[in-house]
Amino acid sequence: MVGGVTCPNCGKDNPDFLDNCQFCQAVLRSESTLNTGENPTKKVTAELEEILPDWLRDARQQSRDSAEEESKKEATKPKVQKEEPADLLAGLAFQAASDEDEVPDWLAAINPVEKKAAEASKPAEGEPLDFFAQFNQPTKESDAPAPVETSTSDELTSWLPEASQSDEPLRFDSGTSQGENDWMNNLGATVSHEPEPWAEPAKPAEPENLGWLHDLESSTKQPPATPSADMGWMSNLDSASTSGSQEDLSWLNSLGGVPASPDISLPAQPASSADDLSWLNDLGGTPAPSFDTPAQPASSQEDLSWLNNLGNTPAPSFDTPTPVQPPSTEDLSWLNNLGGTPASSSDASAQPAASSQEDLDWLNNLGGTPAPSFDTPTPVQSASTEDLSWLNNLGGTPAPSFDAPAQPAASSQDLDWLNNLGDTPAPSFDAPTSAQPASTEDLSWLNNLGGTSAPSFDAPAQPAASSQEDLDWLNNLDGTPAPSFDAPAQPASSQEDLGWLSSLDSTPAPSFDTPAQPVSPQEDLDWLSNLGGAPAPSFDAPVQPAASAQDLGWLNNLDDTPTPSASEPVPTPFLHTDQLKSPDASPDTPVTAFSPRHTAPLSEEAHDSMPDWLKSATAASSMPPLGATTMDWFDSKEKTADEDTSQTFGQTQGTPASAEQNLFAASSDASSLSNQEIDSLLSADNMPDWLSQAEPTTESASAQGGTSSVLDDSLAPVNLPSWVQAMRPVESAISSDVSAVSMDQNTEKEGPLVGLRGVIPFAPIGSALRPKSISIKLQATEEQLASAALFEQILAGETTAHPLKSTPFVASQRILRRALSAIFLIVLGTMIAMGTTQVPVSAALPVAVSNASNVVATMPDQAQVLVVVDYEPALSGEMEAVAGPLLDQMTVLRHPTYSFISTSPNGSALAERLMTNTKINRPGPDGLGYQLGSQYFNLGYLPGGSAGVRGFAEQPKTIMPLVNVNQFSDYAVVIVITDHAESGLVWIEQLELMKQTNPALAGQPLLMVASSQAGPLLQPYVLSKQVAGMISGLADAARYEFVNNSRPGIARSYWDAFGVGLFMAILAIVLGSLWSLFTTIRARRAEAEQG
Amino acid sequence: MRVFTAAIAMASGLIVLLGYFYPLPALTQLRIMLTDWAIIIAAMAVLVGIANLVFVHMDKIRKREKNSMYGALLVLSLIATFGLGLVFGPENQIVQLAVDAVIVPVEASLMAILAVTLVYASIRLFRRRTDVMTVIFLVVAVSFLFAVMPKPIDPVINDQISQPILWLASIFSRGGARGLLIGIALGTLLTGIRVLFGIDRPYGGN
Repeated sequence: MVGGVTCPNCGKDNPDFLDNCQFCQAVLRSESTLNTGENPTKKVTAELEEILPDWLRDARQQSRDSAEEESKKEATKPKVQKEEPADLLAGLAFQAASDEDEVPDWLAAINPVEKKAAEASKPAEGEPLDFFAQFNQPTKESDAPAPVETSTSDELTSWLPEASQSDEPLRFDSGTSQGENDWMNNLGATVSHEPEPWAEPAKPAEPENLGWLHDLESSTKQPPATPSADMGWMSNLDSASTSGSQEDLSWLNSLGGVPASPDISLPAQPASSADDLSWLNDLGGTPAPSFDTPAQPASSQEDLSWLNNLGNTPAPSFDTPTPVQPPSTEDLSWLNNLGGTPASSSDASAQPAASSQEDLDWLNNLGGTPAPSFDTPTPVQSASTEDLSWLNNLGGTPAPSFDAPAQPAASSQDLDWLNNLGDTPAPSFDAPTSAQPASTEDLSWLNNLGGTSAPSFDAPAQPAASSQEDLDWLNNLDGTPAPSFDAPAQPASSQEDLGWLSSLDSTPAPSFDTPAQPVSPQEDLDWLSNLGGAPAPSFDAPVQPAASAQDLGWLNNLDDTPTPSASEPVPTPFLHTDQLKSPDASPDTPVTAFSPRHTAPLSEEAHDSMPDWLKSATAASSMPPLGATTMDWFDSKEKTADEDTSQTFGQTQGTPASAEQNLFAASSDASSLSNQEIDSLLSADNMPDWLSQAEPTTESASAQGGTSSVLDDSLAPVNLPSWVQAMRPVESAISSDVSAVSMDQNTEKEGPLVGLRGVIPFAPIGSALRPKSISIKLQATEEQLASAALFEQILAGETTAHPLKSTPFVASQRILRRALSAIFLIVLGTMIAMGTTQVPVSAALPVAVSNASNVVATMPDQAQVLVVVDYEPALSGEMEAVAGPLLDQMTVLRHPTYSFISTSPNGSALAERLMTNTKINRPGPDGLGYQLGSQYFNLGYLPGGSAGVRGFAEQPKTIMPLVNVNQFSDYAVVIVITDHAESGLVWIEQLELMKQTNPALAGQPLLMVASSQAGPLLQPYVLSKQVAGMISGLADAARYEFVNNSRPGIARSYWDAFGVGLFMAILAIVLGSLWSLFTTIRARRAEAEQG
Repeated sequence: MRVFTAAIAMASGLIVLLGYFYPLPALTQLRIMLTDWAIIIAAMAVLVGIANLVFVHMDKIRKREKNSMYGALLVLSLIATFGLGLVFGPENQIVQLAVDAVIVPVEASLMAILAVTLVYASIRLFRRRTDVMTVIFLVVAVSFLFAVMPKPIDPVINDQISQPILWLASIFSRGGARGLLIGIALGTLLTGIRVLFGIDRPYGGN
């Protein structure tokens, strides 16, 4: 592979631009894992020049321009490393350390005090336990003879030695206590131009070196015996010191996971505010030795000097008014403890603990560990050691809280409410109102920003509220409750609160001589200007209470590498701080960004051991980089920072501490929050609206004219976490609602309701609100009325009776009936009258008729024959014609004796008629000459129906005394002449039953002479042989008569007429049906045509 | 009283029924006696009915109601016929004349009107309803009439034409007749049982 690099571990080729093997992740380049003491190879980074941001390129250019001066100065400085690897931020170091002229005027004006004497960094005795230990590794080139220092600096990563090359000794002005922020001159690993008693020897810095890192290592070289606390805090990196002042920063012992020693043995004197930042000694988890400072009044300006180490910059010098505590010369040396190096130096004043010490207490909870509250019985213990002790929890270790009841509470903890940002409740601060209001930095609310409860602050009624307390809220920034720090009775100058941040970005901070003058609260956070590499302005920490309006926007870059993006919206509270931008500093001033991630290529182990919060700190930040661009960014967002800040913090200054501490109670479970979450919270993107817009009010906006509207427009909408929404101040929500509601409502100006809005309606009662009269009359259109009328007609039609249609067939029916009657009468009459016998009769007898003929033929002669006449006179014509041939044949053939009996009252008369019409009783020669009483007997009427038949059959003589037989069985043949089946059935059933009981009756045949109507019903009995034979209808009679030689001839006489009549009937039915069908169809068609 | 009548009715029925199934002499005599009572009662009922008819019409005549004249004629005819029959018997020529000249022609005329009416109704049937049942009825009626009708043709041919129709008609007529008879028998049986158990009391006492 051309230009590839072979992995020493796996032997595979890798591109040359990779530092680690892409296969086994082994280190490919030795310089990337430069160990302590090794000389890094210089690289040409010209090709990377283009990708650098403008500000960085400008810084690099300036650094090159001042190369000569650098070389001169470096010659006087102890050189830690001759060479350092090329780094993008190398120019920052040069820029920072180039010249004092680089320091903006505004920064110099803020903190004109000279740098304090560099505090002697105490070497760490123990080995670093974690990632931060590498910062404390001794280097070969370290000129500091401190034995501990060498031991602790051995494990410094490669970038630290490089940084140490550009270190220059800082000059600390120990004479002034305000020189705390002088360390900021060394923030960029540049030398302090003002020699101090504790100043380290200047080290020549390479153009590419990160000079700001020089102090990191140089601080480790500081002898522990040096009274200056500049680097002495590093002595606590590996082992906790027993000095009283070391205890101030002992919380840093737990920063990297090692619990900090909560025991703080402080003398009776209050700790100086210079010790405030000594907590950083324990930032890496190594117990930080505490320094007992004499009972000197602590200058509040030194509170934030610990931040010198935050950006791996030389520790700032702490100006202690007493010679006992020389100012520390380590601008950012505190950062040496970031990886576990203990912080050592802290200047504690003899006076009660300054409130400025509490300014940065919030950082104790950066690690997300809840900090327990430490009750310090004596207010002296709440000296400067407590200032930054909150950082003990930075790495997850609970930081102790100190209760200093004798000390006054922070005067104005404006942003204490932010303590409740997290879920952990914040303890209440018992801070009685001090005689002197705090210097406006009530930022302790940020202690619970990460959700961890902040311990209670018991501030006595001492007028010692300093501006440093404003940042106490940051103690819980990462969800870790901030320990309570009791501010000393002396007021702290707000100038020193955050001045340490000026050295964060390895920019050489000029010496700050912070006189005891009141500083405008807006300048409290001017140090943020140097976070990005810009020279930190001097902070004037006034003794008098300063305005608490200190923007916390610098927190956005606290744990992240600032990005050059300056267009991101920033919450309003952060925009109020005008001090972020020094009035003297021009917005065009090139500022170098602080990006330790790219400038310090850490080893793999170091990276692994790096805490999460530090990893997130090295991650890209959502906020623009600190420095000049930051100021521009802030400037663009808020132009009325001065007024807003003053208003905002001014409102909170008078708030009791207890009330503010209640806000801390809301925060909880800081450990659950990661640094990313903190970053997201502090970043401008995720900053809640209420946080960004909490301070500015409509009044201020209106006072500032259209500036507020511009700011509102620039603010991007954010999505608040649920817990933040829950903790969101109600005021904002109410205010918005009220504003919306009150648009059309009046505000009472008089009377008991004054100030209330919308109580009394606008309109006078009874006038406009009176209900309007509504017309009852229905207003309908014409179309609707027409529809309603049609509907009424439909309803009326439903109830109206319709006339029935008359049938046109009445006349025709009568005519037809009469015509039919006439036709039948005429035709049949004619046929009967004519007596025609034209129609032939078939000789074929049916079976039943044949059987009847056979019975007549087989019957004995002169036998008794019972003839039952059971028909009505209406059918006498048919029945006589049907029975005539049978009786005639029987009479002729067998001369039987007939006994006529009838179950009908007319039967006896009909029997006689039958004998007459059949010519049986007629005398001969046409008749057979039967005589009544001798040859035939008319027994009369047999009453009782079935019972009469049953009785007559059983006892004929009993029932009919006139009967000529004794037994019923004497009748040889029983002939039933009937026209209806019921009477025939009675005789059949009763006689059949008699045959079962009386065997004499078994051979007695039963003949049935039935009409055509009754024939089919009696046919089953014929088929069952219960009836021996049957003659049914005229047709059978005609056949039988024809077989019987056409005697008596009645059937035959009817036969032609019967045939014609049926034919006429059939013809009439067929023709009439067809005609009816035709007329029906025609009528339906006519109806269909008519619709 | 109701219970008594019901008990008499039920006992009479059970005795006659048992007499049918068990031809015991005592039981048979008892059954015959009851049967004779029934015949006598039935004959007397006819007389009572005739007497009722005479009394009703006599009442109308007495009250001079509308059409009471016909009632008087009825009563007179009844008395004359009844008297003549009692005196001269049914074989008397006057009595026989009355039957032949009055009763038989009257009733025969009614049957003649019935025949014309049926023809007329068949013609008008399609005027009332024109459905399948009407067509079927008319076809069956015409076919049966045609089969029964004496044709002026050879009787053998006539029989060949008529026998299939008559056979087809006899099938349906026999089936219908048997079904009807079975229904009548079941109804009679059920009615007898109901009377025996006192459920139906045609003798009164409901």
